[in-house]
Amino acid sequence: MEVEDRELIDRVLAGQTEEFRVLVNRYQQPVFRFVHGLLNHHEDACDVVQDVFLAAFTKLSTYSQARGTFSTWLYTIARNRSLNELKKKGPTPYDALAMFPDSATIDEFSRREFAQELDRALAELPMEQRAAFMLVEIEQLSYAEAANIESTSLGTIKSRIHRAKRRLRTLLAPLVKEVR
Amino acid sequence: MTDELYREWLEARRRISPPETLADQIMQAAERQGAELPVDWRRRLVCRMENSPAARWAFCGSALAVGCLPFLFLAHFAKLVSF
Repeated sequence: MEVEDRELIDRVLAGQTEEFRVLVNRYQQPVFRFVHGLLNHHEDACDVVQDVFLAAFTKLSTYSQARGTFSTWLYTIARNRSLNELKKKGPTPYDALAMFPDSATIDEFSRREFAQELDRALAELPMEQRAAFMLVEIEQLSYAEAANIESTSLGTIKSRIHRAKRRLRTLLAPLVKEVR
Repeated sequence: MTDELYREWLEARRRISPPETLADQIMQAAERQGAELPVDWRRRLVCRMENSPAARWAFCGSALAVGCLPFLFLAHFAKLVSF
């Protein structure tokens, strides 16, 4: 049976630091995906994710379930750390993801091209739209959770996602015509 | 076609994973900082009791001993004032 986050947190705070590994294993992938989507850089994302978990570890006693789930808290730290990283380094050049194999057929090539254009279009979105899009569309969180992480209202999150999708559509319009 | 490609892209994005060594790196750094982390002795006590029957017995025994102290004192005091 899976141990609840709250119980694991209590154990870590009681001195059983090794229990933190369970929390790391549970949440490293979603946090990494989110940070990677915001920074568009693999190595920077690794550094920031490490930073996020260390910050969570040292400030674990300040976490309160009343303010949201542990994952929401982690996403909030991840968002803030990613913003700081972006401010420090400026926008990073687009880092293409190797999602498709190199030996691609024409159909695969068009798929790969489409995916890369979507990655590029996502990277070009304004930060707040990108974060909202990542949380709701990729991480599949609810609008309420995304609003909690972004410290904004439900309406603002909905409007950011709507604008993000519209912008993606506009940025991809030339490619969509080609595919059709 | 584009809807399908879009869904594929979303799925591919959801498959992005961190390097396998990342969890170890995080834990090594956390353990280094762990020594500096203040330990809450009340949580430690609760955790010990949850995980160990011996700790539960020890805690209940101590509570019983402490609870009996006033009665022992009263019994001793009653001897002093008895005629």
